[in-house]
Amino acid sequence: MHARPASRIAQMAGLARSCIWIHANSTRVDATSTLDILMLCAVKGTQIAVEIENQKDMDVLNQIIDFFETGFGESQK
Amino acid sequence: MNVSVSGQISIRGISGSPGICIGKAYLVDKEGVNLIKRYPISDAQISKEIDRFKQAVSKAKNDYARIIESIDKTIEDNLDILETHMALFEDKMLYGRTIEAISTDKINAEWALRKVSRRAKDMFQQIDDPYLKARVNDIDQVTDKIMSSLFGAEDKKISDINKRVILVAQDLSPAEASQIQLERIKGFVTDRGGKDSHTSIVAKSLKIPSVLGLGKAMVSVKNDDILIVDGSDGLLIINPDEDTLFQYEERLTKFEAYRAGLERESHLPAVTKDGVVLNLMANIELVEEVVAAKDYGAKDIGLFRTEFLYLDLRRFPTEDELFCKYKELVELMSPHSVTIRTLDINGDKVNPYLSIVEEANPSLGLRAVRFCLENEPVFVTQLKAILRAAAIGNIKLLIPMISCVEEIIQVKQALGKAIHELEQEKKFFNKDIPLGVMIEVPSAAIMADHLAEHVDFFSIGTNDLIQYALAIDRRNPQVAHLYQALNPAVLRMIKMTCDAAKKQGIDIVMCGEMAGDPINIPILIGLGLTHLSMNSASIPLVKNMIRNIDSRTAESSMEKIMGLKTVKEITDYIINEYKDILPFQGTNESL
Repeated sequence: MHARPASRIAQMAGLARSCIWIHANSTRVDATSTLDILMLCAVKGTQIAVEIENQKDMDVLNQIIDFFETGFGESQK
Repeated sequence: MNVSVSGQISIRGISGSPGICIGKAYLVDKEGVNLIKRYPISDAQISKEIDRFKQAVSKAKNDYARIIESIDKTIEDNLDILETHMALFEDKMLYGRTIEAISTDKINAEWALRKVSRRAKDMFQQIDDPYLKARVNDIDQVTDKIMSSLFGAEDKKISDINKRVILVAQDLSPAEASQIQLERIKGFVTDRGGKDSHTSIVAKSLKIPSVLGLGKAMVSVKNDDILIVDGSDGLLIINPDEDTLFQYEERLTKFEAYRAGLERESHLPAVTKDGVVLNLMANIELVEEVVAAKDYGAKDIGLFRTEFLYLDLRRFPTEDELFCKYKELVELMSPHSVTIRTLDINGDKVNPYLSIVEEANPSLGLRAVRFCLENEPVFVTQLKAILRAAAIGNIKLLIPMISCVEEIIQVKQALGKAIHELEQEKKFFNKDIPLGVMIEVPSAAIMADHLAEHVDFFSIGTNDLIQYALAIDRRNPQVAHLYQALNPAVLRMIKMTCDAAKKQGIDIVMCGEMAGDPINIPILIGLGLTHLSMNSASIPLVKNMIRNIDSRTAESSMEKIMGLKTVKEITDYIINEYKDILPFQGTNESL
């Protein structure tokens, strides 16, 4: 994943009330950090999971999932 | 260190490359960015320090926002990068951890940021993916931006210094040196680095005045202090008084005029007034030095020191490793010749476990060819690599520290063994290469007539010859002043060696520092030496000297010179005869 989408995800996660985590390649990173997300080395096709700690952050979770499903809102690998 | 009443401080170091420069100091830390100070803070200061950091980040972000607004929106690539950077300013990995470091380590914001950013960079550096690896640059740029707003100053980076300054650094690696924009740097001084260090090689290749190994420059110099760097004399003067400044301004003007004249002539042939052509060659240690050697007008490599690879690896290199290095060098130099000197160190420097007995006098111990003959596999490996490279380019083989005829016979046996092994292994090599010996032990000079029967050439190594002949360790400051190339005993030994070579009809080279000092040139020409190898930076000066000498006059004055009894008599004679063409005599300018 490239820096631009990673920073968009971090921005979205930044709006959450509690911690948000992204899991990939058997590591868990803080979704609010662009650099952390980049460190996942998640290439196209990598399975990822998003974890929230607070039910109230469901909307943020959905937003992030949307973002992934729409191909980062743009053509991006 | 010497401090005068006016506050002028003089620190003596080692001459890196010759020349003088006067200018303002610019301190750099090891990374080549601004000097970042580390200082502890008290518990009470923590929150204030964190605020200072937050303010710096927000100032940097505001600056960035302004840049983004002003940017041409059609250049999307640029915008993309800038927006990514915007996100990184408050990224937890940088922002959050820096704040953590300030409070847990109780250190200033600059140091905390530097520490955190280096850790993040290390992590990205380890990733294989080239895109992610390149994010190191983003981290760098964001860090730099925050750092400069912490400094409250303009951006300062080695790559964009906009005034002509003198760099003051701990050390300067080849990589760092390559970032320097030379037209912006007048000279540089370092605390570390000795005569044989990497830094000194860098200094020579940069061709700007430098002094190394100062030890205390980083703590004694402040940014913007006025500095005088006397690279010829190995001296740094901080905040000079008016008299000193005036004196050096004058020398600088003279030196520059002189140097400009020399550089114009650096590609003229090294020929005496009466038409005797000399071959000026370069002494080098690294393949990288070839470029500077050629720039200075060297034709051949008269001495390639091979110790570096051994010391760098801290083990004995394999035949292939050696072969690759030698091959690279001879290909670069082709069709000109490269004289490769075999290993010239005490073995325990390569492998500390090798030596069982502590040597009280290493320079009189198991070194160079003695070590090689005792450790034949090491020697044969190197000889094989040299013979293989000789199939590709023009190589001469030089054996150091020979002190008697028996050693040459043993060397030839080892050479025979190397040839035999290469034949067995069906490797491509060339056994017909000239074999020479260093004349650097007094017994070799005395026995030169017999040694000449066994070899193809001599190479006089004056550094050791003088040291052994006069029993002077020139690194010992108490006796170093007695180390004199123009000592009549030294001249006699050189003459014996030259006469023996002439009688046997073999080639003779001088490759010690003596060959690089213009004052010695009339005598060397007088003795009939026509092959001189030296540090390449000395070539222009020596060439200039040669072009002003008449070899017949030099030869006819030899009888008189060889009859003189003291160093002073000889020096005075030369200065008197050649005062019009010698550079800067009496100003301590050993260039």
